[in-house]
Amino acid sequence: MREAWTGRRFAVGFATVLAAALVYPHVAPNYLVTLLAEIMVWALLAASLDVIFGYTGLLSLGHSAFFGLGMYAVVFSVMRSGMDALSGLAVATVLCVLAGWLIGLFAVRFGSHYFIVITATLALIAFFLAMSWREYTGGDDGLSVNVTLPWIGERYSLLTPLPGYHFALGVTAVVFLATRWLVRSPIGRVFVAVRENEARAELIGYNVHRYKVLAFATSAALAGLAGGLYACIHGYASANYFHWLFSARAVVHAVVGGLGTLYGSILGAGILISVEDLLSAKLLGTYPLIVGGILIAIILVAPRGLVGMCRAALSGRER
Amino acid sequence: MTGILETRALRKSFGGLTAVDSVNFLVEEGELRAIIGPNGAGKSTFFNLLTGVLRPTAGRVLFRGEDITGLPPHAISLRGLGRTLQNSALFPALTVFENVWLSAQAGQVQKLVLRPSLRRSVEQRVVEVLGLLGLEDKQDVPAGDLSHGDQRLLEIAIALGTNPSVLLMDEPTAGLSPKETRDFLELIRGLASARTIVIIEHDMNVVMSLATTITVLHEGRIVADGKSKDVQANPVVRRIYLGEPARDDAHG
Repeated sequence: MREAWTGRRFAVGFATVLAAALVYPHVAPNYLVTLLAEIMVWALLAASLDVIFGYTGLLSLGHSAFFGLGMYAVVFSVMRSGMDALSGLAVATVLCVLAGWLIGLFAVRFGSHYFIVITATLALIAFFLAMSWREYTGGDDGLSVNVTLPWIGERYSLLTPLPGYHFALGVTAVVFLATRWLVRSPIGRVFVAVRENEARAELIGYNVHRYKVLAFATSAALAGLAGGLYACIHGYASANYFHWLFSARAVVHAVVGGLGTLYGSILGAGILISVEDLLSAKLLGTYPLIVGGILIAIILVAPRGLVGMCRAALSGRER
Repeated sequence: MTGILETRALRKSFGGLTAVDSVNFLVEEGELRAIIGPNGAGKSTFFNLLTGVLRPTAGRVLFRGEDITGLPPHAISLRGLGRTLQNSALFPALTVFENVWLSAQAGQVQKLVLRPSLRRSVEQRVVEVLGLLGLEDKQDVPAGDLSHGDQRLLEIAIALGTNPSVLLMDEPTAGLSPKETRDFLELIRGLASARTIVIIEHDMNVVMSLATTITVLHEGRIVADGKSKDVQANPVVRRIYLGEPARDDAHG
């Protein structure tokens, strides 16, 4: 009963947001359309961190490596094999699942603190490799390429605001629905069990190591999709994005929005990227201070993030 | 005669210290067995060896005739050997219902993903277990917000969710008031009618009122094993217990 009710409420909410997102480019100026597409990229990366950190309890600083990998997977697929945007994203996803699986097998064997160090090191290694293979990756100058859609082909370059926005919206909506399904499925419940009490989860019959690897590979795929989407709408990949600071930024988005909620990643990325953009003209130097302030305020006032705060307020009213 | 749970020459050493030494232990199906012994006798280590948390230095563990020595804890749990812990090990941020759901769905995750209709049977199992322990009213309360007594009940509920054929209980009455302890003993008797139970306890009175057979561990070895009357009369046991300071204060 309750499940069906939640399902209906979600369907209505999702349809409303999607409709608003479709109307949005017709009423908003072009730069705001581009900004929202940009937010979707970082929301996907934040969602990736939410799966591994918010749900499974493993803080990874290495996911920028998968973001970068996904980015270059798309650019190389387009440049070398003449693929379209969707095939490029498929290549990025498969590569990141494989890389995430192999690295996860090793990385999750270690306790939480070592895990943070190992994943941060992974990102640093990827960053320096990408920087030093300048002839392939273009280093920090990066590589540019024009990315197109399948079937309708050259007519709509994804680099122009409207097609780029619609493509980002489509990818984000599909990935969001798939991720939501996963975290609410029996598998997602096990991720939370691992976060809450790893030893007990093992004692009641869960192969904790296998679930951690699964969470790691899944979140790697999400990070790769985020990077791939970035490459699609910007037609660009750069070695800069392998840097672990991009992982940390996504962690901040997820924390501010609310860990373990999935919605929080979107909300957190949306608010913080908007603030960043708003300030960029005059006050770019103060941006880190402002984000720091927001982060501290959230941790003190609403440790479960904005979504957690809203939920508490709503359930309080129902009682 | 074959037991449902058996150990042969089981030993565990930590460096120079032997915590469990040459333990031959046998439980028959349907038995309610108590393991007693002073602190540091190796009781919890013994449970850790049975459930795969620790790997034995030597010896074997047999469950339903199968050698389970060295299997990881999850594999042992899935075979039907369940366990409660001395310090409640819950999933604190999750509700009581979700806590039990997790153990009830263990081993069926793939099936449940492919066939969502099977979730109904898991839900039934959860409702059944919560009813058995009288936790229905608290099913939406986060486990971390429960009182100590209710946390002890949930601890048992999680173990029962997996529907174990043998349940190992590590001091289920730890930290309970005398009244709560009496209720718990009643509950444990009820549970014992449907499954084999091995219970660790160091309060002699609790043990005597509960179990028909008792195993006494001292310094990692079995010093007595048999009917509770005989064990109570055993001079070695009397010396170990009379030599110990009174433990009743630990249960206040």
